[in-house]
Amino acid sequence: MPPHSARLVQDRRPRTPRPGRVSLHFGAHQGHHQSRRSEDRPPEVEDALAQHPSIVEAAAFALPHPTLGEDVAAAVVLTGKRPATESELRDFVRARLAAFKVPTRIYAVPELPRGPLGKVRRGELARIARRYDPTEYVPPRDPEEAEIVRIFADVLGLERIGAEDNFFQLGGDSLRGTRVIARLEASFGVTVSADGVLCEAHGCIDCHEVRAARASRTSAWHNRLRPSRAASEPRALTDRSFGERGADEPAMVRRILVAAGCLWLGAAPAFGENYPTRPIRLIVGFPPGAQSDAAARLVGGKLSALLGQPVVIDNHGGASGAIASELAARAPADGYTLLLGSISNLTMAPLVIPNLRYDPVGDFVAIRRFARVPFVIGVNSKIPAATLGALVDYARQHPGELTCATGAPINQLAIQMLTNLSSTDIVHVRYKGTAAASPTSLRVTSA
Amino acid sequence: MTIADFAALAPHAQSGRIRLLATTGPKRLRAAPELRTAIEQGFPAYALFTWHAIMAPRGAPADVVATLRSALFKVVNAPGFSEELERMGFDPIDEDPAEFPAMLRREIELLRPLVEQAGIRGDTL
Repeated sequence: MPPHSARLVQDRRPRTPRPGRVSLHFGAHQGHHQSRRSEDRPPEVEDALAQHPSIVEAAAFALPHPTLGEDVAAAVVLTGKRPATESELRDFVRARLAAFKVPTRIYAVPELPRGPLGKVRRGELARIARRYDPTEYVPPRDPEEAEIVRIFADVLGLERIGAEDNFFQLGGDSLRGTRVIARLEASFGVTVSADGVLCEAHGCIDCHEVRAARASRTSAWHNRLRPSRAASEPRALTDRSFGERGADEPAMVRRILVAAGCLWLGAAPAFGENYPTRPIRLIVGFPPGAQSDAAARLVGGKLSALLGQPVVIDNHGGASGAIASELAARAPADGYTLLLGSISNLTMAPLVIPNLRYDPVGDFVAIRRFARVPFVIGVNSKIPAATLGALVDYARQHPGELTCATGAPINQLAIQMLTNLSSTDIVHVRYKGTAAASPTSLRVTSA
Repeated sequence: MTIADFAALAPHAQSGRIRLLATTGPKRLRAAPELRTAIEQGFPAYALFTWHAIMAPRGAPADVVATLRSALFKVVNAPGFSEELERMGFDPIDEDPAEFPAMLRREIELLRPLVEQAGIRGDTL
């Protein structure tokens, strides 16, 4: 009997299901409730896995399961000398054991966590697994997304994956990313550009661009490229060692192909007279629904039509638009990444954000200013003022009572201008985001 | 009181919970022609508006910039574009992109004392 088994037999502490869900992939074994007790089977599973040429050692462990109590998973240490994927390993086990004994999930880890006496700490493995597994199954939101998710599941050899699941955590690698792209192209009749391959094809913010792209049989995919580890450090094809990936890995299928896309960046054809030959990313420093977002969508759609390539809106909110601006400033200057510039992220940001990491004047070239949005001053209807002059009079007669809710530094500045010009005392209340601020003046009874 | 763009306040104004008093643009909003500007109401220095632009990272090839500028020029001059902006509470800007850097420098210096006076702080990075 291999040493693993002996260790496992000794390890018969009472197990209690842990709170929290794990991602599950229902298969043929689903009905075998009685047989899914992990204590019955790990030795067999470990023995079977240990026979695989890519595996140095293996340990089975229990994962909490919302309906079965617990479920069996396995952690393996790979030799790293030849590729091994989760689905391949599961097929390997399936060929040697009854189907219901096949671990629901197999995780590659750099090494098995062991206690001081060398015993595998299975509880630790379960903890690692929880960290790498999505916590919640998100079903596809429309038929298009369902088809996309189905393709990912097929390529990964999984029965079911959620719309928010992490490709890498599910066993994805760049090779599989390539296969996904091929399948997506075949299924949707679109050409997915090699370096702009992120799926954004569901009922979210970029839906209309995606569908427009499909209609014109060009790329339906957009690379929502965030500076992530996956993006900056493309993995070797054989490496799917989850244990080395950070828990902060982007966890969305819709970002699945970022890494795969980056692998191609170096091979991207030079731009030139044919520009643009692939989708253009327009980065917006504010969330969907914000004014900048509306402006970007208006112009983006029209630019798409003129340029013959989708202009895909990529929202990166935060720090008055500075996060997005920095991202754009550092993007390749090839015309495939653009920024929605505004008074917030270009004029105000250098004034209100210390240690700004981009130069609003020097880091960008203006394509054009295209919209002007004046402020509008409104008061709670209970305030007896019909003109700006009357409001100023009211503020003077009620010092400290008139409050103004604003959601952005530039709006606050507009208030400062008014108080300067009218020598009034308006109490400023800052809210996070203009959308949050505007209803507030409705609730302020005195003002 | 509140200060925001027209699109954000219009629903509240329509419901009667907010009364709109003024707009801070250089002229009346196309979307709300009855709403007088602050300038008209005796606040000649109260002109402030946000704006939106398409920017490319510095170093973009000249032909790419030219292609983008040409396309955006066509967009903003296409029939109906002003009306679309108007429906959003926006007004058009007609500006040569070559003027942009000087405008931006000017605006930053114009607003700097106000920002310091108001003690405005943005969210940190």
